[in-house]
Amino acid sequence: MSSNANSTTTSTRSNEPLLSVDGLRTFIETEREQFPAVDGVSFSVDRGETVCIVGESGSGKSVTCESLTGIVPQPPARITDGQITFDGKRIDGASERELRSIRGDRIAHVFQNPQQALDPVYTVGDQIVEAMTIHGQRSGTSARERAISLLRKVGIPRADDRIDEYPHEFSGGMRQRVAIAIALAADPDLLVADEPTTAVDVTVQAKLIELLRDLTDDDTAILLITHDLRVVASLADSVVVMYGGTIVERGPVDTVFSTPAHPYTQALFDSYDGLSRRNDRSARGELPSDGCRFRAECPYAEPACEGGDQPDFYTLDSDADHSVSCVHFSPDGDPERVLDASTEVHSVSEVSR
Amino acid sequence: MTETNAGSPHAATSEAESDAVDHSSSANIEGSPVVADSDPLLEVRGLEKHYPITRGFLRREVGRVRAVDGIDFDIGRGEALGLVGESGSGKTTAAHSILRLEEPTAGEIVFDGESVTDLSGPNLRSFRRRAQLVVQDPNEAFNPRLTVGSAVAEPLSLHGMSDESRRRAIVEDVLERVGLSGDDADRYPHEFSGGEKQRISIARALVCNPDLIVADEPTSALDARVQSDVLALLADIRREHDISILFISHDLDVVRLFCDRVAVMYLGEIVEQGPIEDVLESPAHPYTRVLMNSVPSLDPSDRTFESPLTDTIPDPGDPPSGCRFHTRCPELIPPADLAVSDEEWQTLAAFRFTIETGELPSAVDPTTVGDVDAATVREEFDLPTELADQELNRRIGSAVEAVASGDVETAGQELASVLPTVCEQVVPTQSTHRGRPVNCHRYDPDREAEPVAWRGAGL
Amino acid sequence: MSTDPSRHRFEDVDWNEIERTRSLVTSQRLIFVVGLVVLFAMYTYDSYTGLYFLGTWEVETLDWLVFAGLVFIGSFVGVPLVRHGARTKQIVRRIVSRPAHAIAMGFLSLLAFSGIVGPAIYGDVRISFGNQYNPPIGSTSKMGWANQCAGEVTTAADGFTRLCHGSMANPLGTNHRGQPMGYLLIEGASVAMDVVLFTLAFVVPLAAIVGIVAGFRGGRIDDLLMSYVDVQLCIPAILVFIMGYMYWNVSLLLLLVTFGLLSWGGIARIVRSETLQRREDGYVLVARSLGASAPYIGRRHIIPNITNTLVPAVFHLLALFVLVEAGIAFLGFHHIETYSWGSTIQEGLTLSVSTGQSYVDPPATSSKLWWVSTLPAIALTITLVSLKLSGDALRDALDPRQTN
Ligand code: SF4
Ligand code: SF4
Repeated sequence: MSSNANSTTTSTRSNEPLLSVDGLRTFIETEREQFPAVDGVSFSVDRGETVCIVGESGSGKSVTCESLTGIVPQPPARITDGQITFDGKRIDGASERELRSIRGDRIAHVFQNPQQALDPVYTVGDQIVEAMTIHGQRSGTSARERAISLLRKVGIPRADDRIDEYPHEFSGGMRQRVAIAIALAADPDLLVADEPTTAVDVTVQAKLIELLRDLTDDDTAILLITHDLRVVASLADSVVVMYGGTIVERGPVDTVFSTPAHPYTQALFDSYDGLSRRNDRSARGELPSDGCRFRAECPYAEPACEGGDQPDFYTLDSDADHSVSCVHFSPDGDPERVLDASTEVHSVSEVSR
Repeated sequence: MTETNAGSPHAATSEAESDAVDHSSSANIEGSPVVADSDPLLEVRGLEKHYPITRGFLRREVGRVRAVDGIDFDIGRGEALGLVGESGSGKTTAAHSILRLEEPTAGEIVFDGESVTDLSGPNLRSFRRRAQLVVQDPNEAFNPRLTVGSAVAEPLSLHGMSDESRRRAIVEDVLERVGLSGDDADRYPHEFSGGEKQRISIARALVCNPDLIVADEPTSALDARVQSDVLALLADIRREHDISILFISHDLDVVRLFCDRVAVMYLGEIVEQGPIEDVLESPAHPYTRVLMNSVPSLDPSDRTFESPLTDTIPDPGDPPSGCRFHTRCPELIPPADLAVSDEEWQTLAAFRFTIETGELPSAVDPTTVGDVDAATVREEFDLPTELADQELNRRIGSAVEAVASGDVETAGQELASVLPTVCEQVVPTQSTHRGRPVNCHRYDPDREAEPVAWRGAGL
Repeated sequence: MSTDPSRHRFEDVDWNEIERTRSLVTSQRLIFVVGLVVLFAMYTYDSYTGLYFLGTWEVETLDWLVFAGLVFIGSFVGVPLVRHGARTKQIVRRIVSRPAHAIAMGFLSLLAFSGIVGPAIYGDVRISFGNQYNPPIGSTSKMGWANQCAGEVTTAADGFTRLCHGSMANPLGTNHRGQPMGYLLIEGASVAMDVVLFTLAFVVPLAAIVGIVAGFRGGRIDDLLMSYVDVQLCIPAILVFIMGYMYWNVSLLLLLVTFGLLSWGGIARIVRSETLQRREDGYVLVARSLGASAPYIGRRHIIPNITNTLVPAVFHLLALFVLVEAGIAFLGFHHIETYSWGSTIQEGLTLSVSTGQSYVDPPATSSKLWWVSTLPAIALTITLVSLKLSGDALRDALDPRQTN
């Protein structure tokens, strides 16, 4: 397991990843029940790398990322287990004060709905400057200048005028840019972006993707959460696929996209290729609490998939960095049975080629 | 339509042109292909919905937002038509006008042979029963205070079915048919997931046995797999009950999966429509191409997007003259006598319209950066330093100087006069490309400009 | 009939037939109209014969209005509550699950019952000054020379002062006019109920309708209605009331009309802004596309969804009006035969003024005769607290998203 923690590493500049998460477990407690929203998740992000966590709502992808810096509301959430190392330092179990100094300063968050990050009663300039000064950076005129240059960097035209405008005066896409500018204010090493392009038009999404891509050129690492494989394809260096609170597959984007190995990943790809007809009951049924979480929906399930923990990660023969949590990929399994079924998928922009 | 051209030197021409549009469009559509052999279920002719912009207590009209500005399309029986466009393109307004949630400003909507705008009394009621709406956001599709059973029964009771036990029986039956269980009728909306809510939405639309369902981005808030489940359900229902569907979306990928035909809208107008395979295989209108190239590819090695000339969607209250897409069109038509290459023309045009929209990139914004020199401006816009045409070279140079000195207005005027384009002067008439209507000068046989070949995703 | 499978398949519904048998009569409307007709008949009977319906209860204009209000509330709130029994039970269960809320609602129910039925049962109680200041059970008071005591009379330790003990005849004691406090409390409850019912039946619907129309129609109508509300919010109701007091007969009706009709602006504004927010919501769009009328949408989709803000605001307004009425009565601007809690409190506090000729010797201080103002003050306080708590209770109970 632990040897897999670094498996997503593609950059070799520093042998230590910027962020590494090992065995993270976060429970959600409601009055009626308690369940692990994140159930033993391990991955790592290198400096300047873009890692995408892809999964559906309820897969635990957002809770994972909110657990990193403790912004997940506690209660109902409770981080029970796991080791989070950021820039060589353990930050799991850190005090709220320590976490706050990391948040925004070293790790910044961007959300699906930019409104969450923007205060309607302050100008965007004030908010960027505030984000800078909270973390002990400059203030005064030099802060304002830097705020303008940040707005420019995220592609807001006439930044010098618009810095004095209020969030509602920006369009949806522009607002997301402002939110990104605020996140960048303290020059973070890692930007955690939760579905930042989900609520916008495709044309705007294309622009935001290009913007995020430019950021990694400046050595900012990005941890992007999305449910859309197309966004992953256009942005990621490596991919982490989550289902039911656990990671089921991870690897470099090229190999995962050319050889999706886990039956769940394959199902995700299939949904881009045609209309799936799932039995709704199973889609909605309770997740199994032991064994492979995908069991109830998996076409290749067999008795070995039951009981115990989520299956171990097995590397694929084709790429040592690409690993899958499925019994069929174990040394005595038959991976071909699953891999053969994997279909070629096309998105609209390729149809015509 | 014509007022917007008043300032341009070709106002007279464009007036004649736009008149021509009005006649030719209706004539053209008549011959447009319809999937079903019988009369279409829904015919939309010249639909307009304008919102007055008013000022002051007396609400004097000072302008109009042309949310929908003269669109024509048909939906055959059992056919699914995708209406695609960015937000602000007017697609939702069009849908609402068709359902008479908004009174259209002009135009005709014919549903099953009867004009919807003239309906009243029992006929209107029957139309309201036969045309149903599925809304976008599953979280606000239901009254949180009512059980889903009463939500699904609401169409029945509103249309006069007073027998409560019968309503209940129908609701349980239809809930089961969309993949839920009859007992779910007693639960509240917040107890369901997004995908389930959208299934219930479909059940509610189905319960009156409609002929047309207008689905406004029914799956855009859902995960990919749930989205394809819900689309599959909608497709099954459509086939089983022969229901026509007007499917509104901003995502061509989804439309590709679901629709027979597609109509692309930009700033209140339909710029291109046709069978989905044809349009995706060889998109004709530059805007359709931009939309297609904005959808990220599933292939990680292909990461290029083709961008429009400028990013801002113009204000629908003051749409651009001529072709409304001209401020962003990557295939803008150069003047015939201009001796520049295609690439040069593109950069020059991008320069011009960026200056005109006032969205100066900050690097050349004289108000902040202080002294901007001409070289910076050239660099920022990738402008060619030497153009073959000396006169052009000189005038671009003076525009660059004007930008550098902060006189954006003069620069704009200079560029407009040296880089004129037919696209901004004349409203394109409807032309045909491979048997489907396209509104672009490049497809007008009377214009010199030729269509640009489609090269796939910006390759 | 239920075995016929075509009855529960939506494809097999014969809409033409349903269209033909469509009717506009609903049980709500029916009960409302019948109730009004009966009420009108009674009113005519009453005004022509002048006979009593019940005991010696004199039915006044305000009472008639309150009756009409009751018919309105009964048909448009009560009937749906009965029809959707399961939902009603659930609401009640939720209220009961919180003791404070349950007690508050219980007290209000008691108040409503005694306020509406009590005066009719009690009838008109004679003033008998001789019986003044009988103390409540368990308490004693000094008796004046001509004082009568319904209970036991003892002589105090000084051997001279006669002490009157409380008795079952007047368990809560009497005031300076010899009226039993129980009667006064119930009269006060009746006044408070008049205030509450009048507000619920006339003021709140008015505010809700104006708010919904303004929010739903928008444009010029919205501008007009909201400017009117602005103007109205600037007119002090108390001033209008005092002017009315000077020129017309003073009555509780005058107070309710002036205050009620000038104070709904706040609620109208709340309703309007909430309506604006919900107007574009999916379910409202769907209902509109189904041809639902604006009143239907307001009733079924908007009002139920704004209860979170509307219900507490309404109960706050009710509490405010009850307090205002008591305050006005306390100041003495009330009809002399209206025994409001406010006037009773005031009479208890300023005994020497109100008693005129005192039978008490030596003149009592209010602290010795504590029950006269303390009892109504307690009733008033509990009522106000109950109103506030009930507002919260209803708000929570009406929201299905609240668990437990
Ligand atoms: S472990 Fe079993 S259930 Fe899980 S994905 Fe593999 S085959 Fe399917
Ligand atoms: S008419 Fe001109 S501007 Fe409009 S789409 Fe065609 S080429 Fe582009």
